[in-house]
Amino acid sequence: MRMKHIYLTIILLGLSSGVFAQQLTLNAESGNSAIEIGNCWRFLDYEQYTSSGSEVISGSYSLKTQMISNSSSINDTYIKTPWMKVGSGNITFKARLGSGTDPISRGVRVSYIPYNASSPGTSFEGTLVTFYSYDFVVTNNSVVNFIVPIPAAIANSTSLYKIMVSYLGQGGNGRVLSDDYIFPGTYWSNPANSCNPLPLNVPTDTDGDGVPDTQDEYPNDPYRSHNSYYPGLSQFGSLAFEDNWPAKGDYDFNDLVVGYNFNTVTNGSGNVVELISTFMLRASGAIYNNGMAYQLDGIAPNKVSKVAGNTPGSFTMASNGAESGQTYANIVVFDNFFNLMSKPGVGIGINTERLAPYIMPQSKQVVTTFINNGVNPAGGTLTLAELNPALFNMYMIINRERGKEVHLPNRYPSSLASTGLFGTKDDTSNPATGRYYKTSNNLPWAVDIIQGFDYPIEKVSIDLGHLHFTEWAVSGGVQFPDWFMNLPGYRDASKIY
Amino acid sequence: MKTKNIVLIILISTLGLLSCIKQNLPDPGTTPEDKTKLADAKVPDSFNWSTSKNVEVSITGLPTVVPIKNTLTITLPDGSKLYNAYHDMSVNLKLTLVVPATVTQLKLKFGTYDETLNIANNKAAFSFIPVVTYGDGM
Repeated sequence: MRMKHIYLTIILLGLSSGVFAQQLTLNAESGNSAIEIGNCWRFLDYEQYTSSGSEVISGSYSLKTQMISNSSSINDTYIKTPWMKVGSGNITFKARLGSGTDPISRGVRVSYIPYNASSPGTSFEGTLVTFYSYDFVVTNNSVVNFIVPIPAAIANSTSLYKIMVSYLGQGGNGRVLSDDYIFPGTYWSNPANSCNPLPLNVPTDTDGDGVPDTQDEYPNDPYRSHNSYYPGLSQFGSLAFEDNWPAKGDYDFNDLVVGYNFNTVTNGSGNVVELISTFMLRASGAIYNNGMAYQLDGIAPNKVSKVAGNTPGSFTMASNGAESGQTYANIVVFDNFFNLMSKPGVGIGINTERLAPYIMPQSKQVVTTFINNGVNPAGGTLTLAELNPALFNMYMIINRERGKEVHLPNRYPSSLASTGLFGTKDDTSNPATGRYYKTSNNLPWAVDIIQGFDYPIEKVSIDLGHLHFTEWAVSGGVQFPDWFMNLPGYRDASKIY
Repeated sequence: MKTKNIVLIILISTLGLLSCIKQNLPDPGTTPEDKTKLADAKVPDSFNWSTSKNVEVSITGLPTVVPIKNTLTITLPDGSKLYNAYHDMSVNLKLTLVVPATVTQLKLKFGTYDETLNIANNKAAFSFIPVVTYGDGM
C-alpha cells in the first residue's frame, strides 16, 4: 500500500555519503490546504482539497482547481511553492481533467521565479521564467504523470526560487485535479516572517542557547533568554490585609500593605529558570509582627532548586529553601515586617497615620531558582505555561504564628495553616466546599489590586476612603471595577493615607 | 444687660433646635442617600474580590516543514509583557494569564505576526493555521 506523507516532507537520501538530497512534497493529505498555505504554499483559484471518490487521484485527498473556463494567463490558476533551494532531477506530479461541460482547451505550464532582494513590493519575486508546457487532450480525462526536468540554470543553485505550476484553459466548466507534486530541493521559507526566505546565514547566537542574540534578553547567558512579568514590567500589584482573622477587623486593609512584581525568567527551551519576585513593603498599621509568603499552587517543592533573598526567620526551610512540611512549594518572603522596616516610634505601626513620620518603603527581592546553572531540579522542569501567575498564592502570616495564615478569598491555605481555626469567630471557611477566608457575608480579610493602591488611614474602613468599594463588592465586581482609581467622586482623600 | 444676654441665648438655642429639626426632616425633592456600609454589605457568594481575571489563552500550532522558532510575546494592549518565551510554531499552547478585570483584548507577536486577541468569557484564542476563504486566491 502506498504511503502518502501528511504534507511537506524532507526526505534524506545518501546519508552514508553525507549528501543530503531533499524535496518538497505536496499531496493534499493534510486534508486542509490552510496548513500548506501557512507553510507558504500559494494557491490561486483553488478549492479546498477534494476527498470525493470520483475526484481523488491518490490517497484520501487531491487538489482541485476552480472552474477553468477563461484562464489564458499563467497567473490565473496556479500552485506556487515556498522559497526553496532547487535541487536537480525532475519535478513530478499527476493531473487530470475533472468532469464538466466540453472544454475547448486545457493546459499546464511550469515556471520558476527567482528571488529578487530589491523587490519587496512583489514579495521579493523576480521575473518569472516558464520552462515547461503541456496541453491536455480535452476528450481524455485519464491521469497524466508529469515528469518535468529542472532547468540547468537553476538546478543546485545557491540562489532561491519558487516553482509555479499553472493551469490554463478556455471553454466549458471543468476543473483540473492534481496530486503528488514532488519538487527536488530544500525548503527555505519562514512562515513566521511573512513567508520571506529563511536567513541564508545562521543568526548570531553568542551564548549558544539556541536563541539568536536579536531575540535573547540575556545574549551572553546560556541559561537564560526571556523575561515575562506579572503584573507587568516595572509595575506593582498591591496586597492589603486585615490581621484580626478569624475575627473581623476594622476593614482599613492596612495591617500589611505590600506591592508585588514577578519576573519569570525562561531559557531557550522555554523552561522556567527562576522566579524573581520583588516586594515593596509599604505599610503595616499593626501591633502584630506580620509576615508574608507565597505558595505556588500545585507546584511540588522539589521543583525548586534554591531560594535566595528571603528572610524566613524561625520558620523551617528545607535544604532547597522552600518551606518544610508543605505539599506545594511555599516561599516565605519575610517573617516579620517590622524587622525589615523600623517603627518611627509614633503611632501603632508604619505609614498608616499622618501624624507619624513617613518611612520610605523597602524593596525586597526574592529569587526562587528552578534550573540552577543548567542543572534541573530533582522534581523536573516547568514550562512558562505551567508556572503561570494564577498559581501565585500570596498570603500573610499573622504575628509569626505559623498556622495563622490570611489568604485572598477562596485561595487555598498552605499545608501548615491551622485548620482548627477555620469556621471560628467570623470566619466561614469550609475546606469541604473549597470556601476559604470569607465571613458569612462573604467579606474578605485581604484584597489584591493588580496595580498601585492607595490604602486607608488607620482605623478607617476602606469604603469610607474608596467610595465605590462596597458597590463594586455587592455587584459582584460588575459595578465600578475601577473603584481604586483616583477619579472624580471615587474617593475621600481625607480617609486615604 | 444680663436680661439681653439671656434672651440672645434663648433665641440662638431655639434657632439651633429648629435647625436640627429641619435637618432631620426628609427632603421631598431628593432621595436620601442610603449607602450600604461595607461591614453590613451582603456580597455574592461567587465574588472573588479580585480586580483581575484569569484568561485562558489557547494557541494552535502550525505543523511546519522545518522547526520555526521565535519569541512569542503576549501583552496587554498597553504593551505590558505578560508571556514572553522562545516558542516552536508547531506546538499547541494553553496558558493562563492574569490581567486587569477591565481588559478586553490581548496582543500577540511572533515574528511578523502582530495580532489582537479578543477576550470573551475569560478566553482568548489564536491559530497559526490561517483562515482561508476559497476562491480568494491564497
